[in-house]
Amino acid sequence: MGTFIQSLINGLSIGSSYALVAVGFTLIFGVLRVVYLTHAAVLAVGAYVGFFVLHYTGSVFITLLAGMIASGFVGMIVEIVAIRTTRGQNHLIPMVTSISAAVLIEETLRMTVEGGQPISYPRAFTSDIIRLHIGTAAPYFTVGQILVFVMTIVLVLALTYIVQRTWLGRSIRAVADSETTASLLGIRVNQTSSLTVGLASVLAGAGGVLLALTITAIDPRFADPLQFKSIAIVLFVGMGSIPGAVVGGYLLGFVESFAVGYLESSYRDLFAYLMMIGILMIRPQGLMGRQAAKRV
Amino acid sequence: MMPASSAASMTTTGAQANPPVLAAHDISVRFGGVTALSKVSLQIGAGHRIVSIIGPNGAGKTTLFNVLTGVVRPSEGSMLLHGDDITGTRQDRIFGKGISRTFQGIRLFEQLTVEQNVTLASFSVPGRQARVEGKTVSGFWKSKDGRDRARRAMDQVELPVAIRGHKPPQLTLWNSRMVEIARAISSEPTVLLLDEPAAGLNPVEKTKLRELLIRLSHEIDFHLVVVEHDMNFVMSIAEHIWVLNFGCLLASGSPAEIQADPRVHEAYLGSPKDAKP
Amino acid sequence: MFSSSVQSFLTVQCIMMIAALGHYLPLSMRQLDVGIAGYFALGAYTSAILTRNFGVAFPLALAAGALVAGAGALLIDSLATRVRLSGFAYAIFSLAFAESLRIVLNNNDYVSGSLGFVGIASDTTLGVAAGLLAVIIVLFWLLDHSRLGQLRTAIADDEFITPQFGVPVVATKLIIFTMGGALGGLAGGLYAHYIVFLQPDDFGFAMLIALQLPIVFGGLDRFYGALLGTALLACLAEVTRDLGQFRLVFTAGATLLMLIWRPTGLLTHDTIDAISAGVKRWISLPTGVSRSRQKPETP
Repeated sequence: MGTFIQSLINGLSIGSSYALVAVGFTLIFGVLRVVYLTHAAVLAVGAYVGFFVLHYTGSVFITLLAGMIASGFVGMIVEIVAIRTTRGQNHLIPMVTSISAAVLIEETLRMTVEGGQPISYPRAFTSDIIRLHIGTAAPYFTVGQILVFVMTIVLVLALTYIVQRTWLGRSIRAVADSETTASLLGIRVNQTSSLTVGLASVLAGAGGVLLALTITAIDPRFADPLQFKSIAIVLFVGMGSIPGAVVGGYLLGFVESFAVGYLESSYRDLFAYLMMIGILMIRPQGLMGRQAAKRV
Repeated sequence: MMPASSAASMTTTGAQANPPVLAAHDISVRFGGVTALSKVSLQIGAGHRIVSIIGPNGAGKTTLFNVLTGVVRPSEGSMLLHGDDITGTRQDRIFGKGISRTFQGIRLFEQLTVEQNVTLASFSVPGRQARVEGKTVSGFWKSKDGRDRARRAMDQVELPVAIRGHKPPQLTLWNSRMVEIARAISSEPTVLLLDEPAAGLNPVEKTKLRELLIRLSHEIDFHLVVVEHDMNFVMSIAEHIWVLNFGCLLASGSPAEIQADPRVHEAYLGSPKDAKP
Repeated sequence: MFSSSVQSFLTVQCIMMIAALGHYLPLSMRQLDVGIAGYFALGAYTSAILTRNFGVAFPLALAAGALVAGAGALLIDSLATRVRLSGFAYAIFSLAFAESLRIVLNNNDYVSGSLGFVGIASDTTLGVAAGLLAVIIVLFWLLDHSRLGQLRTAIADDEFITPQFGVPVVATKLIIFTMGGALGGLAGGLYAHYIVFLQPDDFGFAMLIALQLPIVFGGLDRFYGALLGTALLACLAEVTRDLGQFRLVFTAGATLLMLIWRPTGLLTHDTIDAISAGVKRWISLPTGVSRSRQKPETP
């Protein structure tokens, strides 16, 4: 029983990270229609900036804000430099430029901070532990894990509001639907693309800080597996669906945390990968959302 | 295998005693919510040398070609070649069965020379003789007479030897078309589907094309199906015409009958033939 | 002949170029089979186990490694093709396999997991690696001019119409991709017997990126691009070696700049044609390609 609840709690926390990153991906893939692999690096930027800000200010919320701004900024630069310039080509080229950008960012982080050694966030209120007592079991979680979950819901709701109710959101949906039509209607596609990546990167930055607050240490590449799995989630549920990305993210989070809870932890990633393989074989086009997957 | 024609009895025109070379029965094609073709039927008889399919843009002509060549599987309907049901045959087998095509515009392999473009096709399938004998060749191995058939095909369209080693980007439109046709006839097909072969040609070239097609239809003993927009071209070359509109078969008949048909005029010009402007 | 550090560099580069050619094959047909690190690992571990634990002769072990890797590629690509995965999904699919392999190896005691597989005989020499690379280059050249090569070029050029002319697209792709996997496995076997120490984490994203970026940099139109890209970027990184750990930065930076400036990569069909026409002119052979590409010949 205790393991069950513990897994449930961990699943919420892990799932939140997946959801945040997956939502960013579904936005980017839907609008830019390229394979964008710089997201993990952008997330890491947010986490690293947050590290210094937290040291300096001690405030978790300022740290969060700083991470989000830093990531958003870097993300938009990446879009302008690496994606906008290569979008028209066959899908391999922007993928490779996004990988190159990611490598550049991660290597820069590696070389400038602690020689690439893992760093840990200073202790903050997020490390405080809350212990439940249910029968004989005593599962526990950290305040940070609650924060991750809460912030994820807040950010996703905010994003949904932006997408559904604002001018930017309308532009995003228009470009995602049909780029030519959107531009004919006067929407500036380039600007929309940058802002989309910026928005997704802001979410990634938040995810980076939140993750760093809840795990023991981070290094420049710590988000790479996360990115990979989030892409698979988006592929599975279909690109262009925010609710789908969120549901998929939490689903994978639960599957993983239960697998770890009841199996050995080193196999956690393996489980996700095998699931991915299985899912792609059964449902190559995805569950919800448009079939933009075919185009890529 | 269904018998393609119920008119098996002897008639004065001997052609009806045999099954049509190529027959399409009630072909319908639906993509999602769009109906591209709706219950289209046509038969190309042994006596028809050159026939034509016409219709406004978007009428479904290329879709029909795609069905006949196995690119698209019809939602309903069937296709028969010499009386054998070939509905749903895979694309790469259709070529080997004797149905070839060209494409709208020019679609040649730009990184292969002219000769390589043709041999790519000719090596993949057996020639007519072998086909009739029931021999098939896997697309990998080179058919023994592949190179000869390629050469013959290029000769038949009078492709200058000098350019056979060139690559498509350097060719004129006329020669590009000729390569496309050579590639398609390198399998010694029974049916050749030509998708807008005269597009972009000047009047002199169109006359040349017309003469070439007529000559080929006699030399090779095959059946040409031409999709075209140039009405003069069509009328001067086709023995039978089918008119498609919005995915349906609007009319079918000889050139004279089609020209007189008010429905055809309405489809093309938007008004009945004798209406006052 | 060469100093030992130069020898070491050259040997590793020959091995990497063989792997690069293996990765090049699917990429050249616009298929994102990015499992190359996994095929490499399969070849490395298979051949190492055979020579160390079973006393198999080196050449045989290499062949076995290539075979296993090729089989792995065949399996993955068959599955992916059966369900008709889109380009990107294909990448995720193959990567998931490669990563799964890495995790399994990490946790497997038979291969000493993450502690490292040691005790491998140091059988790979510069001569062996360079010799194999030379043979493979010749085979690639022959492939280009063979029936299979024509099929490959046609499919890469315009996949949609190739089946209309009798080309069995799926079968061709599977054969090519299997060859790619086998080359990756061969490179892995050579690697295992040179570095003589195997850790599963060496066969992850870093290796994939190290292999993929240079071949896209070099150009995917012809295999010369893959060779040139790998060689050029390796030399560049090596020249700046004293500055420390800038190797990846250089590779990534160079690739990024190249693709922004020239998305097709360094060597394209046109570049190769122009070069070969120039060479033929220089040694006075008749050229099949006319010099002035803009002017069509008179009808």
